[in-house]
Amino acid sequence: MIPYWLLTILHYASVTAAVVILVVVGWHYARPRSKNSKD
Amino acid sequence: MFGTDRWPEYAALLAYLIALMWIGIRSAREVRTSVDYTLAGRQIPWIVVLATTAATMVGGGASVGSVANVYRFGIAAAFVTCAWGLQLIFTGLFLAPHLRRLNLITVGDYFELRFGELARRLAVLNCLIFLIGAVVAQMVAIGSILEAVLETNYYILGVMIGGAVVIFYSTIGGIRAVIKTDVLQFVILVGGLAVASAWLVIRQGGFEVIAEGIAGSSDPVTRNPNPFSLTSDRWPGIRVTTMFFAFFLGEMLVPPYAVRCFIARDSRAAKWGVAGSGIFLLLFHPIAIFALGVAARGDDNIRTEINTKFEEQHQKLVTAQTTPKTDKDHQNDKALREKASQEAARFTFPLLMRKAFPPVFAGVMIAALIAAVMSSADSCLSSLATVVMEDIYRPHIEPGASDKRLLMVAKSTTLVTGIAAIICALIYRDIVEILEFIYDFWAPTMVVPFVVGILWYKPSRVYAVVTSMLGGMIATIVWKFVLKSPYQFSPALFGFLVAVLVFFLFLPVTRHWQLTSMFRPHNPNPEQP
Repeated sequence: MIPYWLLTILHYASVTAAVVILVVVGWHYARPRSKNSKD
Repeated sequence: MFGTDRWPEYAALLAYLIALMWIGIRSAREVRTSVDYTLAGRQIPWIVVLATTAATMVGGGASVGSVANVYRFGIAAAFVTCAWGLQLIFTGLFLAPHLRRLNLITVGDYFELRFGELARRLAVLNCLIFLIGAVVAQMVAIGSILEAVLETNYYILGVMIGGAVVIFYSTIGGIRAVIKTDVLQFVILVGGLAVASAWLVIRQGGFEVIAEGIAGSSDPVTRNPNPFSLTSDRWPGIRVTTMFFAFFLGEMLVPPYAVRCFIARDSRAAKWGVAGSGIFLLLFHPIAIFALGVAARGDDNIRTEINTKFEEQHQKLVTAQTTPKTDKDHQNDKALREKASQEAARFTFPLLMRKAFPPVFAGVMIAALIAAVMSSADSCLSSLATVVMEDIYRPHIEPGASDKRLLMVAKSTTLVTGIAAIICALIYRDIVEILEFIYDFWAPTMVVPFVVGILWYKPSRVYAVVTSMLGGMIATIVWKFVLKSPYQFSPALFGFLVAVLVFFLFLPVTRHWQLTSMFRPHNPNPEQP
């Protein structure tokens, strides 16, 4: 049986990880880039 | 035909499908050569590799299937999915950089390079089994989700609409379209799952309140009275452990992931793209699907709907039964109820998305669900085109084929296999059986060669590796089909353990044997591939 407080912390961590990764992906596409870049 | 009060859901879904096709059309302009079509010019940065790998990983099984399993069996079903993240971390850190440096196009190339022609043929056979099964399974998942969304018996329509969109952008844009749509799908999927899991748990007052609400309740679909307990009568420790290892090994370097290593800009991008997706999924996916599964159990409306689905499915199965009544009727009905509860649980995720959110947001959530499945289907279709072009057409049918010709073969393969997968999905709908079948055969045959070839390679080990591939395959067939998987021990893990045993048994015997043509590596020098 996993303690509820641990599950709650893991859940917060998972949502935080999602926000961080979405910001990083967004930054990759939003940043200024050279004309030759195709990604 | 469709309820007018639900137009925001349909509008969100339609907008999403149109966006995917638009990406496909735009990507088609960038495809000039077969390498563009299959490997995107090997110019993909790590963060895009991360997004496309994670989107591919989270398909129908990891979303709809896992939430259904959490609903039925509790936290153990979420725990075993940690294996997927760990597998990607291992692959990224230890295998992906080596694979990228070899400048390969297919998994078959790697097997020929290290272990010769026979190993290549076995590997290509495994790739085809895996990819065809995976494409069909994802098409079934697309149809099931759209059927649940449309709330009527529109499975056929769902498969055809969803399948047609995936085939369209995959065929015209190749891997470039797949990668771009994967990034869009990743954003929608991660954003959708994160918001949905947080919203539902907070709305119900947190995990402790949910647990108190569930305590003591029982219904015909759920199989674990306490979803917060890791083991239960139906999922004992041995089952959880073997499933964990089966999940860890079952998808290791399957073609869609191997391609993510090949398309990376360099070995560093391959390493951190693949390992990064594993780290992210390990942090994000198990707890998100657990939150969704228990939130569904804590919601009386969802439970009532799922129980209604169970009664419908059970009735359907009883009616469809054509065999005459026998003494085994009771046992037979138990099996039918089990099957009906599996079918009903599959509606958990779509129902949760539809019932627990306001209409417009529900539309976005449903798009996230479709995104999960489509991003896996398109990757498998793309990999299948590459395998047919590079492993079958170029070496065996037209060795001197021009690049234009190869590009046409790849596009035709995507189109034809996509249509064939839709037809198969219309005939055979059991996604769990399809996925179990393909996972059971991958690990026993393919994992030992990958690990030995990258971390412990010598040409003198070729015979032992090829024998282990055959041994693993035969052991899996015997365990799965002849012995019917006794002791709830996964065939994938059993076959893999036999493959490891065969490798070490044959290693001392075969190390001095002369390599014949079928076993001669393309380049036996591991230092200069």
